[in-house]
Amino acid sequence: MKRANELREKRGESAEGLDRLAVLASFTADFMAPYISVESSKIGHPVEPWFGPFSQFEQVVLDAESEFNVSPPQIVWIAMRLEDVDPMLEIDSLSASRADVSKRLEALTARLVALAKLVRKGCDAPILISNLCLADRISPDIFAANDVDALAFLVVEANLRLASELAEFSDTHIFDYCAAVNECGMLRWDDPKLRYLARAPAAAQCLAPFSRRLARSCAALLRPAAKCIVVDLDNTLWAGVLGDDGVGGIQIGDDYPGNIYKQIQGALLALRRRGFLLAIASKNDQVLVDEVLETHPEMLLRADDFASILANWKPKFESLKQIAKELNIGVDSLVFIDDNPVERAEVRANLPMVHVVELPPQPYLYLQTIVNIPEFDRPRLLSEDRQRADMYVHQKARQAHEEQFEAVEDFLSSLEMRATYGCCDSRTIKRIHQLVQKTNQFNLTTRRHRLEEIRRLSLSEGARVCWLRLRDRFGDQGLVAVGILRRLDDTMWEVDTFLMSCRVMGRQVEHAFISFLAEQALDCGATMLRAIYLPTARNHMVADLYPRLGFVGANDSSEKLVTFTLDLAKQPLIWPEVISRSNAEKS
Amino acid sequence: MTEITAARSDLESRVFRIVGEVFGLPIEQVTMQTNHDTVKTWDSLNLINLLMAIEVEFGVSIDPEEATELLSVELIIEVLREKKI
Repeated sequence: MKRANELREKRGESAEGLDRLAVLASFTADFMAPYISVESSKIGHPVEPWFGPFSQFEQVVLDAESEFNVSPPQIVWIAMRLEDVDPMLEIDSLSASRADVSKRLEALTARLVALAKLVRKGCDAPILISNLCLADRISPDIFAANDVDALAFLVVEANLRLASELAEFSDTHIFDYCAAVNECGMLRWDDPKLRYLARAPAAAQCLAPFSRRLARSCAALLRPAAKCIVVDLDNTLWAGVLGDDGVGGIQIGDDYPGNIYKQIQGALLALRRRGFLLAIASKNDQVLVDEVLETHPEMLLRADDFASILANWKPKFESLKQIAKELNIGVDSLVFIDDNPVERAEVRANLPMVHVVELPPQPYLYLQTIVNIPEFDRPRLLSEDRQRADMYVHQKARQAHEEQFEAVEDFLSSLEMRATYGCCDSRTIKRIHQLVQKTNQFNLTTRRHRLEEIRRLSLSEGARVCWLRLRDRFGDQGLVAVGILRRLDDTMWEVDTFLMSCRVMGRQVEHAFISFLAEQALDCGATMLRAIYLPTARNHMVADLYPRLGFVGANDSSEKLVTFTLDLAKQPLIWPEVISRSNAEKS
Repeated sequence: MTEITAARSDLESRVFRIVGEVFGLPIEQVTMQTNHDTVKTWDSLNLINLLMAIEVEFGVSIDPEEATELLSVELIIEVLREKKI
């Protein structure tokens, strides 16, 4: 409470500019307000909660005059508790048939799905929906698990159904209420007095962890996720100091203390499989490091798992900068894990935008800390995420290949690049949305369109949402470029969005893509194409892109926005020779 | 001001602080007479927040019946005194 008040004072009472979280709940969620403010600030993405009238869902969403609709939120949480909306269910389940109980639960999940649909109709904010949990039991039969028709099992089935139905919805996600209750523990969760007196969400001591989970879910949906985890080696990935103890002397394995580090490696491997890149920044001898990575029998992580390995004696912040540059990602998308507080402090001082993980002094608590880092929270995985870590390994092979050539053109030709392209459809929209949300550097306008907006544009006559996919002899790069065209008038179209993944930079892909976009504009009847560059802190690299592509600058020196135009009839754009084109995937 | 603070009992200053925090009042504005009629934020929701804060601060349990009496600083202190705080 005090922290929340202080926070509010610091912001001068105004929550303006903060993302607003609309809460529609079947209980007095208002008690969570100060906790949500504090916890969301702690994890670096403060949200301002707004609470709908108690236990009103459809009414609020349907009422055009409600605050929910008058000033639409940036994110929505629908929190219906089983015990509130169907209080007799547990009692009835003891006499009703399995089918009847299932039907009652189906009605409830159907209501939640319909509610999601209703919210989605009016706004494009991400939606969180609590799953169902038997937290408040009046018949806690100790042998209930013997009964295959027990309510608890049917609730699990209902949650499964809810998850699979919501997967069809854009930007709609389960808030894992069951996990929140489990995390706190049933015994701590319930405070009968507060429940009877005020329909409180949970016991007072659970409100902070509960709100933290909610804040993490919100942040994961509202901000870009971290991309790369940079780890130290000695006493972070194994116990001991490689330089002093030797390859045989470091400890990792199934016994204490090596088992701590083996699990940490396991956790990092899991993060890699979820699409995060791994990299090493260690003050060590490169030869010894290579030996451990190649030969140590207990290592779960191998050289191939790392997109970049820097073992040297330079300050770590230098290594972090180098890693970001090598991988073409922003320094602010790095997470740094190091057991040494001095190294952490040095990185913090020199690169404040890096997320430095504060590890506790006890190594046996490292894992808990690492697996709960909010920067690693991400909603559904896309196949590109899973493959990303592999793509960077291909990239390394590509760079080695590059060194054999003298002329860039020769090198580019030898890559045997093939581009496919098309317009946004149901198969590509999620990836397009992801790129729109997270691309910072090669992004001309940095317009963060929400998923629904992209869908609307892709269906509109006055717009085209285009993509390009690239393959080369080393592997599939996936969908790497997104362009959105919008009609200004009969002859003039505008490039609303033009962005590209940095991993294909310097390969003339932007030339190929703009020429495809120009074709699309012509196809729509345009004769002129207008394009703008909106400078941000991160996109300097594309400041001169349009002139390079043949656009004429409008010589607007108002520094905030630079406008360019291209006469499509007079200056056709040439598709680069080094990329072969096929519209095989054209939709 | 400092003299008055010094004159306050430990119990009183802890209650003043909690009331300030829960209802969003600067602590120097809180007096023995501060009550639900004069403080706009002293609503049923914050009443429960007050109850939770008092329970944590003093390690006591407040019954729902007692909770409905927490309508002024004076009454809060009275309830706590009854609990031998």
